[in-house]
Amino acid sequence: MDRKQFLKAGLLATVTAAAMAGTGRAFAEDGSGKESGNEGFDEIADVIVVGSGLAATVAAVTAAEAGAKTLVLEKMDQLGGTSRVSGLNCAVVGSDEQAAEGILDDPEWMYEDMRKVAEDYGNPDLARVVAEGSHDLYRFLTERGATFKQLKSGGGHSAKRLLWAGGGRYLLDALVSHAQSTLADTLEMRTRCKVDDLVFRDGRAIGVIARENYSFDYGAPETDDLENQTGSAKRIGARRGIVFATGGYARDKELLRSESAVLAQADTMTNPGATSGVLRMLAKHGAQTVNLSLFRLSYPIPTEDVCWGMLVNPDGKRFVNELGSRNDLGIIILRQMRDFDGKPPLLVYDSKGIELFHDKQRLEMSLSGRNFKNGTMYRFDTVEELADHFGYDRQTLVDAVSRYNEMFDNGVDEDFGKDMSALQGAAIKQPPFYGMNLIPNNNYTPGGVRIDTSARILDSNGSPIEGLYAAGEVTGGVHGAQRLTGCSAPDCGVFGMVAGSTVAGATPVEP
Amino acid sequence: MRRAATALAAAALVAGAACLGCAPHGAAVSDEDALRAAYPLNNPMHSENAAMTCASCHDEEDPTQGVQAVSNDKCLSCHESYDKVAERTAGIGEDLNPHNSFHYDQQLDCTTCHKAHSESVNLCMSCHDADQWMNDAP
Repeated sequence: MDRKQFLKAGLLATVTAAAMAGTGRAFAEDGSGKESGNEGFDEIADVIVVGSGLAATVAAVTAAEAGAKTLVLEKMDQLGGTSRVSGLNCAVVGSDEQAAEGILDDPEWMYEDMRKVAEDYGNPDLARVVAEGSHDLYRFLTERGATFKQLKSGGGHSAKRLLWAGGGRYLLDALVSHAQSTLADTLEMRTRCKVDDLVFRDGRAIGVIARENYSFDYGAPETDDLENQTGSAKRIGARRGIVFATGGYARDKELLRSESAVLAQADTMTNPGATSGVLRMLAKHGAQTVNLSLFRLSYPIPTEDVCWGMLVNPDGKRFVNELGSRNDLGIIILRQMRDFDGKPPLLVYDSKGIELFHDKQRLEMSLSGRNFKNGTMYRFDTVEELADHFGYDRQTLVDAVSRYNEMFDNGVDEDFGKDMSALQGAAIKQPPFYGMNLIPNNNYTPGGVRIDTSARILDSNGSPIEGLYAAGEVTGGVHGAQRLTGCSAPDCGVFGMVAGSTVAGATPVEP
Repeated sequence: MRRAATALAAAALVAGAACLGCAPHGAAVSDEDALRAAYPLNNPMHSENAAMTCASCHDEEDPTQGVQAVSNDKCLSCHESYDKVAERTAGIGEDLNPHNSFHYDQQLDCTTCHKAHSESVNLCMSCHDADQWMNDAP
């Protein structure tokens, strides 16, 4: 967090708290659910879906198409969550695009690919639902107007199966416009409506306590859940159930810090609203949370293209074999950042290394400043100029480059055991030179609420909490230790479909 | 930013009016003069050139009881249209234009970034080095 922003948030919070003392609030902060029998709902729907990313939108459309009067509640100013700003590569087995290229694939292979990197974390049954459901999701999306621009291969996938629509927004736009034209009477999507708590009767969730006209504090996302007092309370009942598809918690540094201190050093490019408010609220009502210590790190440039360069810490010293896996490399970088007061390392390439980038599109984004925050790459004629730009002592950086080149020429990395023969001739010799800071992004949180294969939220006894369902990144245990690239979208979509049809088919109660 | 935060904090201490979005939230103040003093407009284009009052943007019968975030329609009643606003910032570049962007087209609320009574924020900068292509939001 920007230090100035932090000071501002702290100051305002103090002042606001003082001004607020004794005024009381309409919404239930303790939310014990003990208001049972005194519901007094302002509004009643069949199904409430909380969130508006891919999982939420698919769940809502599914429920509404099954005839349930469905209400989507999004706390942010605009719909779409993190899905809207994601690439949303989507692993699908059996797409028309695969058929057109004659690619053989099998849901079992996708399941095995997912479990191979899971390191035995997570619940294999959930991964199986995703792999076996990806084709149904493909039909669901394409029959409602989504089109895919490209079929790609992806690291860890045994078949070419990643579909790309041009960005997450294109999948969401298709579904929302489909809903507007065919589901106008059954589906309503509402922004600036924050769900704070649940209303229970006889152990079943029958509604939510929400705030309408909520104004998310984009200036201080990390403290929004605890400090933001905006909006007016409203009680909304749900006859059939409530689906939580509220995304991950990568913006919640406090929670990350409590799970793994170094993770809080990572950047995140998720929706500013990716906090843990809903997760904590569900846990308070008995939902079990699983795998919260797991993480998934990524970079503005592909992990596979880090290796062509030399990575040095703020002292100008190498500290890692640049040929590492995303999480291993990321954790080592985060530890260095912790030891250097948060200062990121510097990644240096020469023009030969730049040529070897396998993803030129993301390279171009970095060179033009359009990539992620802190993902901009700069070009220099000399190592000295590069050192000046990034605030390094010239001689220190020149020495580091010389030593790296010497070991490259000898074919042996004496310091970190990097396989110099795998670098296809890329050292740090050919001008121009390129430099960027390399900060791991924590853009996906594998942990979350425990669900069963019907998307029902489970308590710590493994029993469903009646009336509560969840889908997408808010859930935990689908992917395990490492999520394969392109597997979040099918998770969101498939479990969105499962949650939508399960909740629409639930026995209704009158709230 | 620090200056704006300090000014706001002082204002909140004095009056602590109830407001949404563009200002910290607090207990209601008694009359509109106090409210105005507590929530000065931070853009001189609004306060001096246009001589705007509370009612220029807020149509609540009694704004001392709290107000809602101002709607796009209200902003555009002076700023003409979303297209017109986008046209004025078109020079930033296709896809990068915050008023007609790759991720959101024209689906953003004005008040997500533009705060009339406090420091504005730049949503693009949540994820991008947007200072490479644009200035601070007014």
